[in-house]
Amino acid sequence: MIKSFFCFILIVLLFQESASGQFYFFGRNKVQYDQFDWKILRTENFDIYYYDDMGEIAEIGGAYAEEIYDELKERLNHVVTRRIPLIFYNTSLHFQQTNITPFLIPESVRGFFEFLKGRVVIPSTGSLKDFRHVIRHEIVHVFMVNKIFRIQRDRRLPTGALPPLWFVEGLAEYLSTEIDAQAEMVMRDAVINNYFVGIKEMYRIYGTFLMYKEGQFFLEFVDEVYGKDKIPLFLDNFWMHSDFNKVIEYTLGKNIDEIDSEWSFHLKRKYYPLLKDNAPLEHGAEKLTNWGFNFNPVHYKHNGTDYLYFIANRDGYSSLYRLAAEREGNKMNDPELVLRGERKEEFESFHLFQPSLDVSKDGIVLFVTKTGGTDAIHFYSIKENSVIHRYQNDDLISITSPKFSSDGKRLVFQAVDRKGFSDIFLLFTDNDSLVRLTNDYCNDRTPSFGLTDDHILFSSDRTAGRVEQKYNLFFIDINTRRIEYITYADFNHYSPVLSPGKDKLFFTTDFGGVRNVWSMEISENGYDGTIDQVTNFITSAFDPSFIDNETIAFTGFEKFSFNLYKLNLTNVDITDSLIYPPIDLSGSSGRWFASKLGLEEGRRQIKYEKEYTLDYAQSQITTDPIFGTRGGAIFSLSDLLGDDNFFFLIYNTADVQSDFLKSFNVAIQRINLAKRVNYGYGVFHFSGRRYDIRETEEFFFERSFGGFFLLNFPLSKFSRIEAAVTVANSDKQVIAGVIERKAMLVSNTLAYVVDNSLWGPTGPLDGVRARLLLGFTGDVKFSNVNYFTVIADYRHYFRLGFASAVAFRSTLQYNEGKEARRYFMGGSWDLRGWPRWSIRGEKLWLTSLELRFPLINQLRIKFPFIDIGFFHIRGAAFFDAGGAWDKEYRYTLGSIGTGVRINILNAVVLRYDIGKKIERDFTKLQPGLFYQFFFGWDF
Amino acid sequence: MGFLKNRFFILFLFTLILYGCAPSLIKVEVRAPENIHPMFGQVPERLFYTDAVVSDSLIPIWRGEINGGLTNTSVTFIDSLLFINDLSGRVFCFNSETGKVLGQLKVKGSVYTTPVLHDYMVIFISTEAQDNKSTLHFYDFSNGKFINEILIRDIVYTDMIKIQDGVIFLTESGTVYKYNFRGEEIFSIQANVRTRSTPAVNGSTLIFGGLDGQLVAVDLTSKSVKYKKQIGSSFFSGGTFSSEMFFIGNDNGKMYAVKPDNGDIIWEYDSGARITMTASQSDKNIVFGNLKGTIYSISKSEGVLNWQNNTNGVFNSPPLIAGGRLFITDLNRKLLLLDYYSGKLINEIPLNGRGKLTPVIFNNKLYIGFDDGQIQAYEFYY
Repeated sequence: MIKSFFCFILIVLLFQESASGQFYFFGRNKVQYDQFDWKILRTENFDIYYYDDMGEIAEIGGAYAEEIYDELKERLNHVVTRRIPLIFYNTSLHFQQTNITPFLIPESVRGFFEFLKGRVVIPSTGSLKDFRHVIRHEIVHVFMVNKIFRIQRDRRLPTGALPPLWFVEGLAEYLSTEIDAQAEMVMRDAVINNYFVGIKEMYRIYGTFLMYKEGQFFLEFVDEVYGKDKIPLFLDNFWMHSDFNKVIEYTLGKNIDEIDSEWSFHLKRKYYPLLKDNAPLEHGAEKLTNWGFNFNPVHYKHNGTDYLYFIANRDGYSSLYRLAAEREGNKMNDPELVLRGERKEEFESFHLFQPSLDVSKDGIVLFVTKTGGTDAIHFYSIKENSVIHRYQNDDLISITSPKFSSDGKRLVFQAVDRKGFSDIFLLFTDNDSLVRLTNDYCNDRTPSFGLTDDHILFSSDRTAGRVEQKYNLFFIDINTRRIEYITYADFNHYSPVLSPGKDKLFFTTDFGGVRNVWSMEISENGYDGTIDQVTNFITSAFDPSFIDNETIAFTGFEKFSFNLYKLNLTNVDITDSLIYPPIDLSGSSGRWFASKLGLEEGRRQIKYEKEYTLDYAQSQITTDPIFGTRGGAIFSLSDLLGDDNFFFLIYNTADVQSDFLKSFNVAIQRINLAKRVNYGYGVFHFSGRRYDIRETEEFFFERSFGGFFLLNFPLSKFSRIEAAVTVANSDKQVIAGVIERKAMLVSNTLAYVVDNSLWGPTGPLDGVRARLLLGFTGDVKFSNVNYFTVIADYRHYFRLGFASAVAFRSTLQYNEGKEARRYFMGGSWDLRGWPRWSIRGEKLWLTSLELRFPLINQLRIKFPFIDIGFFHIRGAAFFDAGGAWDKEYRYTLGSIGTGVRINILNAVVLRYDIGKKIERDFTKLQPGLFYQFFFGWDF
Repeated sequence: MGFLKNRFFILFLFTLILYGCAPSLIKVEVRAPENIHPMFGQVPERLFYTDAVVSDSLIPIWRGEINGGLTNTSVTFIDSLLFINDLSGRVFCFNSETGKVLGQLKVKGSVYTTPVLHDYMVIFISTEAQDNKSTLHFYDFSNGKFINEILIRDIVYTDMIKIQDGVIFLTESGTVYKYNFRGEEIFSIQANVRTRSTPAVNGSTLIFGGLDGQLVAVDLTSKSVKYKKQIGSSFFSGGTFSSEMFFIGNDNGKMYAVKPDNGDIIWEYDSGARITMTASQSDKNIVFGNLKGTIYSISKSEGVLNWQNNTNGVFNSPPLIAGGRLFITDLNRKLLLLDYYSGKLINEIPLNGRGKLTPVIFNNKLYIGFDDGQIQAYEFYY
């Protein structure tokens, strides 16, 4: 369906996963389910990294890359003089395993350009058209960044600056693709529903898909009205002004208000006439949902009630829902959660933007989720209210569009295999035997059973001839494997499905600019009847399915939201509908063939060898009158795929020259992420004065050196086991020559970590985070140090509403033994109101209860010279209690209060709390109030 | 770490400060100049042609580096002095034989234009585009002093033309200025057409192309706009004059030959890709390249293709025609040497950056420039 839709969607912005991976206290895991055998394909300007059986897709991708390189060198009058690394993955699922970025990649991201080393990382999703688009898009980024760097450097100006994101992405879209049905749909919706914003207010839609498309449309507008030569001039003139709006003004010779006004008028004149003949979804069909992102409705009658099962993200998690299709009165029915996704490995994620649901006559719901390293088809019994079967195949990475045959004994679906081919497969449900029906790089999609169960209808870009690579409708005979064209037109057709009476074929097509539902009469000869428009919406309708012979349900896009709608076909009366052009199948045989680089076999097989290059380096030298001159450096290296990472730290703390050699602090660490089991090891030497966190609050001198080894085994995206061994020689001088302690410390820890939390703007709002760690630290040489460690930390977030929750935390940190290290708490992160880190002990417990709620969603301050906006300001009411002790329990402390949190640019959260401490062993409230300001995410 | 307070650290800092304080001075002793390459394209018609004797083998003799990046201009010479502008607001003077830097002038803004040389004077324009102003500088390098600096309330991106009694230049908003060598304004003519096209002059006619696709001719005698004629898309390339024709490339990929008197198109040749360079010409043919990397030789009279060669490069700077050869710098980090008559590639010299400057042959040496302000001199090997 809308497979390549939203790169960034609203819900992703609102609810971020705890972004980083497995080397933190909590955090979800980036699991390396597969080990890839990487190879390199060298083209004239690119080094293409691919693996396993992806050779053909890599060659096609290489041809696409060279094609856009050739175009851009002319369009932008620029060449990139370094070789550009392009890293291809065969599916989005494999792409999510990349270590080139340490962050977890949302399913909706279709590729990225990494600025640090200039790497372009792109998954093939089965559609070469989409693959080409993303390759082009990312290479535009490479050219733009490189050109701006050159322009700035030529003038000896700072080279880090870039245009605003809306322009960066808009330019990439403008130069990589044309206005398609998706772009048209989004802009129609924005203009007609009055949420279109001009250039001056682009910050309001920062990072959204709408921003991408508005950027693209703006440049199309400039191209049309001012000339396409103005587009590269935006870059050529970039250096002139730090305010990019001034660059636009200078380039177009008008002020920004005039330009905004012209553009707005241009769009309104284009789209307002649609209101004459096309209907908004709300008026043309019955709306069934009104919140979130809802997709792929399928009908089943259960206990006399018509239900629609569908996939939706209504609260931050993608899940399976059902909804009574008939309203009672005017009130919309509330959907009922059937299965929760994104909480455990079995249903790691539902694929929202792809059709992945069907239901059989006997009440088996088929749905697809990512389960481990590949997709799986789950069989959910409505009657038994449980998943009764699961089909998963290691060679089929990504699965979509499962559809039952009429007898329910077979199902057909689309899958992308290890070669990156998107093809049609047939599964026999009684024995899970699989038959592959197509096998090529054409994108065969949205299959369903035809007039008989021996015919499979599907949409494909295999169209050859004069309308090459358009998505047309086809059918394949299962027995002969013969593929026949049903349509042959210069626009795209998707989601063919027969009516229950098998007298009409319904599908969607973008004929007319956006996707609408159309139908074809089935004649005696088969699929050659007349074609009529069923819906004529301003925006789009997707994935029609039947409730009965006269009613369809579908997904519709309107007001920047996907909702479910139903339409009674007997009420359809489109007098001004478009006329589908007569189908002319001449020239419609066979399939199209993609251009490839056509390199020799030997050149394709260059094996990837690790080459380490610098990721970052930072050094600093400071001079002050007390500590003299000090310096240090930190830098890291990694290989091109980011699998193998080295970190180096060096600094010196000597106060006098004679201490120089022994005052080096050095740490070298290697972290390998290439396999499922991540490991790391390193050596260190630390020397210098340490702050004594025992009672004395004095410094002591300690010199320690040793090594460590880390192991990390992710059980799934949500849980992992960690193990660590550290060996360190420690010499501690509390008073030089008087109180000294030598030790050869060996420390072993084993931990189990769970995290399926869902994050709001300032911290988790749903799910669980937990960590249980057991450890032992001993001095194997002098027995000066021997203690064991238990850390148990459990956090549970109970959702109250869309953006409010009660958060609970319970923590025990326990060291017992000789010279056990102390823990500490106090401050805004744990026991609020108490001085930061003032409560110390070898044992510590802490519990917190916090109500998190939205306070102000948007606060804008308009100064005469600039607008400043603050978003998602959150409130909290909290209660904390805890205590710390060494040998004997001392007292319990606590606090109650309320606070405000503000997320600043998604980088830091500022927190301000007011409350009362609970003092004297939890017996008395502080007389006044405490006020505490700090930074940090909610627990 | 007190050890870092040592002499090396201090010396390093001192060197760093000294480097940043290099004096803005060019003061060189020159006898009465005999040999001169005074402007971009050598002559007001912008021919990019020389009858120098060349060979197909080039031996690098020196490489110099200036502060900022280069534009698609060229170096100029007076005897053994080489002058070059850069985008960081500097004009450098090298000894053209040894590559030694003899001095530099630092001014505010960027210097887009090739320095023009006259007697002991270097004339150039610095532009502060953010403030929409430029300064015309007259500098006496024999005395090391600025003679005159004139504020121009406009931006100047395109190259100046030296004529007998002064210099002519064109501003971005389409005003043609003429100054004498003392820095006195002779006239200004407002054409009111935004432009980034380097003008050329033949007799009393100056022609340039506008960003709106108009061809504009200015009569320098009557000080008026002769005509404006819409003939294409945006013009980024400059023009070149022959006796009866004016040639100019367009962003739509076409090379136009027009009548200088009325702007009528005599012929047009579609190269299929953007043209941003000024064409070079000999007696019978013009030669130009486009951004797709194809070089064309077209007969001046008929507009018929003599040959074309797709080099897979990107061409912005006019080629130099010399001794039956064609020298052209390629953005794709190459200097190409082609046979002028057949277009056959004879030699390809890789560069350490994108080729920028139009090659110039002076005193039997070839000078080019590429990324990061690199100036390279070659000797011909016979």
